[in-house]
Amino acid sequence: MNYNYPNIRILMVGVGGIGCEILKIVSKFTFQEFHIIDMDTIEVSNLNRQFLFRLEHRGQSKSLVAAETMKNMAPQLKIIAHFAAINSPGYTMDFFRQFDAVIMALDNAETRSYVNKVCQALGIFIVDAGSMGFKGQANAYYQGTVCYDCYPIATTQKQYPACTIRSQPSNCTHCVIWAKYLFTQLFSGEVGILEVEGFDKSQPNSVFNKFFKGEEMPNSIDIVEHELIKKYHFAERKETLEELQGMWFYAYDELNHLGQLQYDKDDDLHVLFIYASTALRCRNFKIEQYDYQQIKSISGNIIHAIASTNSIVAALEIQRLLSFIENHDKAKYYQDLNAASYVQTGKKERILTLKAAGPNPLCNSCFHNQIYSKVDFQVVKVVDLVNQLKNYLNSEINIVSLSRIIWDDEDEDDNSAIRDKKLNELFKLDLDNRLVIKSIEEKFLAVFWLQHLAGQAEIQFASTKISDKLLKFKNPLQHKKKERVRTQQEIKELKETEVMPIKNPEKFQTAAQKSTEILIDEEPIEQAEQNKKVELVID
Amino acid sequence: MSSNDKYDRQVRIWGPHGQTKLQNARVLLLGCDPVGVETLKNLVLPGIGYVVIVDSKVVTESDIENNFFIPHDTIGQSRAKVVLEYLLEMNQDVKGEWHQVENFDVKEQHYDLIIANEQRFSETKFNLIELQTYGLVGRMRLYSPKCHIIETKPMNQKYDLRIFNPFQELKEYFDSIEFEGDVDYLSHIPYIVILYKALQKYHKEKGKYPSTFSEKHKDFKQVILSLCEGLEYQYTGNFYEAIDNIDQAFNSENWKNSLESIEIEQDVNEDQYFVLISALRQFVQIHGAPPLGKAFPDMKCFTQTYVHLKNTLYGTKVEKDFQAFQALCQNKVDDETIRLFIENIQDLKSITYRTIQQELQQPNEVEDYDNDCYIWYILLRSVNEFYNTNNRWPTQEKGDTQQLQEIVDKQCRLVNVDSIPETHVIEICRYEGAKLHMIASVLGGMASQEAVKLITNQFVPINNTLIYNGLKSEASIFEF
Ligand SMILES: [Zn+2]
Repeated sequence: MNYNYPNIRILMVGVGGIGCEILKIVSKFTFQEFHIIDMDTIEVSNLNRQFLFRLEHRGQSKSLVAAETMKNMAPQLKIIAHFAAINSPGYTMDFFRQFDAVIMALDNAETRSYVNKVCQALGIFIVDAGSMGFKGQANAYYQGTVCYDCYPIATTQKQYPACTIRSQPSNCTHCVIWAKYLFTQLFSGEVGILEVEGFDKSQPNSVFNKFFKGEEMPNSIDIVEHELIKKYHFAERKETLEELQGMWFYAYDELNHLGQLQYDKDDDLHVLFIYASTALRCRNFKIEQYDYQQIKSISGNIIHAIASTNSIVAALEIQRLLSFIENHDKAKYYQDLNAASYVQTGKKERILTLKAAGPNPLCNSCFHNQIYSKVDFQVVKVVDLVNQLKNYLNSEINIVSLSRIIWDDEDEDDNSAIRDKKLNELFKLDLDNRLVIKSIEEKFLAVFWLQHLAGQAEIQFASTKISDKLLKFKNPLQHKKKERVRTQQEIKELKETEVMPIKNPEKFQTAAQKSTEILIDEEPIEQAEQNKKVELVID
Repeated sequence: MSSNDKYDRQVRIWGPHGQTKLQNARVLLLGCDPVGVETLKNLVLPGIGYVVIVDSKVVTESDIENNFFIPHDTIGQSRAKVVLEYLLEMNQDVKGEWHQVENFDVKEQHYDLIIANEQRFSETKFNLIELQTYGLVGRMRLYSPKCHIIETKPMNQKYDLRIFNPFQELKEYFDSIEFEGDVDYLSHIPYIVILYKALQKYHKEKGKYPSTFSEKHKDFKQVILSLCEGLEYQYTGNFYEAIDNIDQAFNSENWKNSLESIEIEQDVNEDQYFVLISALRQFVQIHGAPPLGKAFPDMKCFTQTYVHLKNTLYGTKVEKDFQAFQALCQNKVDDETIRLFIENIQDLKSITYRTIQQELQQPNEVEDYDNDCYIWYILLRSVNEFYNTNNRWPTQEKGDTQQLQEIVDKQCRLVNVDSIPETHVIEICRYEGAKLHMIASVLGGMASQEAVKLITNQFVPINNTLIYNGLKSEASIFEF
C-alpha cells in the first residue's frame, strides 16, 4: 500500500498538537509540495503532545523546527515551512490557489472560519480536526457541502488569545480565565500564560500589588483597610472594594497554606478566590462583572488537549484526505462528504462517522454567490466601484464589511462621507477584503472578494459558476417568518436530528469541532443569543 | 520551572493523583509494531514512569517504511533498542530498558500494564492491552485481573439531590415554598423545588409516581408546565431548567444497581475498596439512603437562595453523613479517599473481564450488531488462524483465498453467524498483513487512553474488545 501523489499540493495550517501527528502520518507519503504554516513559537507546555519539539527548541518557530525535524525523518516529503499567520499579508487567495487541499490543524475557531471562507470561495477541499480531552472530531468540507460556518451553534465554545487574557481583557469571561490561570499558577505549581515572578509568595500584600496594582491598568487598585471575609454572601448588592479585598486576602492565605491544589469548582474556597480575583480585575479594567454563579460556572468549564486524542483525529483527518484524493468519481464522492467522524461518543460505538445535515442556506461563508474583482485601490474611487457593481448585479445594494455597513443605497447621507474616497482609504492593499452584498429588494446575498492590483484602473468582475443562479437564490430572509421559540428540549432534539446526530452533543460536539487549547462555555447571555440562531426553522 | 510544567494540561483531566500513578507506573511493551510503539509514545509524552521494551527482531526495510518512530539509518539494529532510544528522547523524565530476546518471562517482575502487539497474547496476572492492526482494520483487547473504579467520571454528572426522597430538613424547606408571588419571585424558584412540587402534584392526580420513560418525559413534563401556566415565556427559564433536569428527580436509586453487583472478596480488610463497599451497605441499612455527596449543580435562583440550599441545607447534611460514614470505616481508610468515594457513589463501577483464553476458545455471540466491525473481528480471527497454520499471512492467490474461506466458515459456525460477505474476505486478502501507521495512529491513540484509565483507575475502561474499521472510520466495542 503506497501513498505517492506527485501531482498533489497540500497546505497544512497550524503545526501544534494535531499538526505534529499529521506530519507523523504523512511522513511515509510523497506529495508534490507540502506547505506548513504557523505563527506560533514553541512553549514548554506544548511538549507533552507536540512530539517533534524538544526543550532546546523553546522560543523557536513551530513550523521551521517541524520542517527541520522532518527533513531527517521524511526526506522525500518536500516540506515548505512558513513562519507567519495565515491571514497576514502575502497569504491571500492567490497563495491559496496553488493547493489541491488544505489540512486544518488549528486550535481556534477564528482561524478555522477564515480558512473555511477562503477555501469555500476558491473551491479548495478542506479537512479539519479538533480534540478536547478524550473526545475529538474530524470533518471534511467542500463547495456545496456543509461548511465549517454553517451551524454557528458550535461557536458557543471559544478560544481566547493569550495576550487578551494577559493584558487586554474586554469582558468578564477574559477576567475569569485570567483568575483561573492565577489560581493554577500560584497554587498548583503549573505553568501558564501569566508572569509569576517578581514578588514574595509568602507576603499576600506583595502578591496583591503584583497583580492588581500597576500603571498599565486603567484603574490601579491600592490595598485598603479591610476585614477578612470567609464566605461569599453578597446576594443583593455589589461588594465594596474593602469587601472584595477581604475575600481575596482570606482566600489567598488559606490556599497558599494548603499547597499543591487542583482547582475544584465545587470547593467554596477555590471559587471565593476566583470570584474575588475576577471582580478585582474587572474593576482594574472597568469591565461589567458577572454574578457569583456565572463566574463559578465559567471557571469550571475550561478543557484541555492530550496527545492520544490528537493522534486519533489526525489519522481520521488524513483518511478523509486520502479518500478525497483517491476517489476519482468526485461527483459521487461529494454527495457522501457531509459526514463527520466523532471519537469517544460514550456509547458502544467509539468512533462514529455520520452523515450531517446539508449546507445551511443562511450561511454566508458557503453560499454560491461569490464575486471577485481586482482593481488598483490607489486609483479607483468607492462610488465608481459601487456603481459598476450595481450595474453588474442589476440591483440597488448595501455593502457590509466586518459587520459594519459601509454602503447603503437606501441611505444617501451616509454614503456621501465615503463616495469620493479612494479604495485604499477603506481597505488594506495587501489582504483579501471580504464584503457581503445584499440587494435592497432582498433578492439575493453575495460575497464580494476585493483585491488590490497595481495598475488595474479598469473595473472588472468575475463570479464563479454562480452568475446565472445569482437572482434565483432563495431569499434567506423569508425563513425568518417561520421563526418561533423552541424549548431547550426541542433545540436538543433539533441538534441531534439535523445538525449533530449524536447523543450529548452540547458537551461533546461543539467543543470538539472548535478548539483544543482553551475551551470555555460562553456566558449564559451570549449562549441564549447563540441558541437563537438555531431556532430558525430550516427547510 | 519544574519538569511537571509540561504536564499542566493533562493533569487537569486526570488530576495530580492520577499523574502520580502514571509517573510511578511500569509498562511492558511486547513487540515493536507501529501500533504498540504508537501507544507507548502516547504514554511517554504524558510522563509514564518506566518502560520495558522486548522485541526479538532487528530493523528491516519494512519497518522503515511503515514506522515513523524507526529512523532510516538504523537497519540491522535491535528494534527494541532503536524504539526505546527514540521514545526516551521525546521525554527526558521517562526511564526504560530494552531486551532483544525470543522468550521473555513476564512473571519475574511487576508491571502496571502490558502492551502486547504480536499475535494473540494471554496473561492473567497484570493489566493487559493486546493490539493488532491488519491493513485498514484494527483490534484492541483489554484485560484486567481486578477492576473496581471509584472515579468513573461519567459524561453527564448525576447529582443526588434527594428530590424523590428528601431528608427531613429539606422536606420542610420544599413544603414551605408557595407557588404564589410576583414574576420576579416565581422566575427564581430553584428547579429542585419545582421538580419536588411537580412530583407531589403528579402523585395527587394519578395516585402514583411517574416510572416509565414516557410518564417521566411526557406526562410529568406536562405537570411541570402546568405549574407555570400564565407566566410569560421569558420568565419561565427555571421551569424549563426543571424539564431539562427531569432525570435528576429520579437519580436517588442509581447507587442500588452498582452496589448490588459488587461482590465482596474474602480479603475485605486488606482492600480499602471493600472496606468502603461494606461500610456503604451498613450505612444504607441504617439510614435508608447512601451518604450525601457535596456536588451541587448550578441552578437559576437568587444567589441568596442558592447559598442557603448549598451551604445550610445540603451542606450540613453532607457533613453529618460524612461523619457517620467515616465511623463505619473504622480508621481503615483515609478521609480524602472517603470523600472521593462518597462523591462517586452514584457511579461506582466494577468489571469482571473474560480472559483471553476464554475468548479464544469461545467468543460471546453478538446478536444486534449494526456495522461491519463484528465481521472484521471474525475475519481477524480467521487470518490469525491461517497464520498459525501456515506461518505467513494469506495473499490474493486462489489457494490462499480458498483456504481462508474454509477457516472463515469454521469461525462463523463457532459464533453462530451464517456467512460473511465475499467482498470482505477478498478485501482482507488484499492486506497481506500490512501494518499502516494511519491505522496504528487511531488504534494506538485509543489504546493509550484505555491504558491511562487502567493505570490511574479513573474513567471506565472498555469491556473488552474494540474493533476499528478504517474503511468507514468507525469503531465499536464488543464483549467477546
Ligand atoms: Zn456554510
